[in-house]
Amino acid sequence: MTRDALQLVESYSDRRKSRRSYGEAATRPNFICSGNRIAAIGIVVLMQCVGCAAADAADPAGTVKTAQGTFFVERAAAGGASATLPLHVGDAVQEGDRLETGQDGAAGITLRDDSLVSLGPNSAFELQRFSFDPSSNRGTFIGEVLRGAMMFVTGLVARTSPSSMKISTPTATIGIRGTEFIVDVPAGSQ
Amino acid sequence: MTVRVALLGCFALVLVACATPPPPPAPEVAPSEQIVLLPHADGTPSSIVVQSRNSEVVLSTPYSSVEVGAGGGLKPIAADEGSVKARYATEIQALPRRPTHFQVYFELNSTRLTRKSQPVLAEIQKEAALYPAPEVIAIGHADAIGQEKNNMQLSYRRAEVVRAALIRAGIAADRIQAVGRGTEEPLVPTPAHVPEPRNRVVVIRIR
Repeated sequence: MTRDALQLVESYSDRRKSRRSYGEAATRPNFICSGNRIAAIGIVVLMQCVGCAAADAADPAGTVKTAQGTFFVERAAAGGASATLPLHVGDAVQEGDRLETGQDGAAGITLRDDSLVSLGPNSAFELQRFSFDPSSNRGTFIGEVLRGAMMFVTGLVARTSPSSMKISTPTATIGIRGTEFIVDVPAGSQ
Repeated sequence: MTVRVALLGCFALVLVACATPPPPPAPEVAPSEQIVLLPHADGTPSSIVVQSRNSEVVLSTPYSSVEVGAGGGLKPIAADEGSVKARYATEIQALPRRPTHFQVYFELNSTRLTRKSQPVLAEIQKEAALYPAPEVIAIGHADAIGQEKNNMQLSYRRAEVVRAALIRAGIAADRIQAVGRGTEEPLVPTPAHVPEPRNRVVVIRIR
């Protein structure tokens, strides 16, 4: 595998040798664009635009990374109804999702800002608000532990702006100063 | 890998603290909400603020815990590393693998890795394969010599080199994003037209 990768690097750099006035070493203005180059620039721009758009809407808030036993989401569907869907490793998690595990369940999700959340058995977590802009590392992470025990590892949102992350329980609110913690809300504790 | 080393260091520190006799276990009458502060994986100090409707407590030492009483009162409770790890073993085990990041450096005006970075790329290939449903973003940079539009393209092609290497390592292509930043957001800020090898870099974030 490594060898393949290195060969690939070689083949890229071989192509570069014929264009010494390119990139970092280009010291004189270059007014001539080959069709090849224009196409490549087009791709660069397009990729960046895709990235920008994704930060606004298309990207999910996070991804399921570990899942065992009963684990599902209650998600708002079109027309105000909500759907209950089982979740598996690799599935997307979205803002507004209510994640629940059964007696035999446990799960871990990684959010787009590198925050980690794990749910123990018989727990429910609502991801009330989540947004993240990867170019500024700013965003919002607001969630509620409705039931059960959960572990949180804060990510970039809390690092960049700690007040932008809040986790609440039925009776308390946790403000973050960049850290890891457990919240335990036993059934019938209120 | 660096993350794991940091974690071990962190736990070792905590274990030393645990050499003092453990406090008696808190009696459990009725289930109540509890919040436990854990040590930061990288060893940096951290704290949380717990607020109920009528009080507020700051937790700032690892494994310090607070219980929310029926009337909204916040009561510190005894907890240590051993009791927390035993009680919350399932949650700790379910936590996703921690995100990590790497940097690989390139030769001047080139998509060829520096000699030192070649083994790093191999390490990244191995590391990425350890993540379930991996998400990788490779962000390419260029230093401030030459024209910005060329540097934008160069930085993107550098990111593409890393992306291709990860695809070869078996990571699904749609899980790897390659982005070129040109001379914007350099890791080491420099005036225009100043050579800076540390900015001929691709930052790879894996989660």
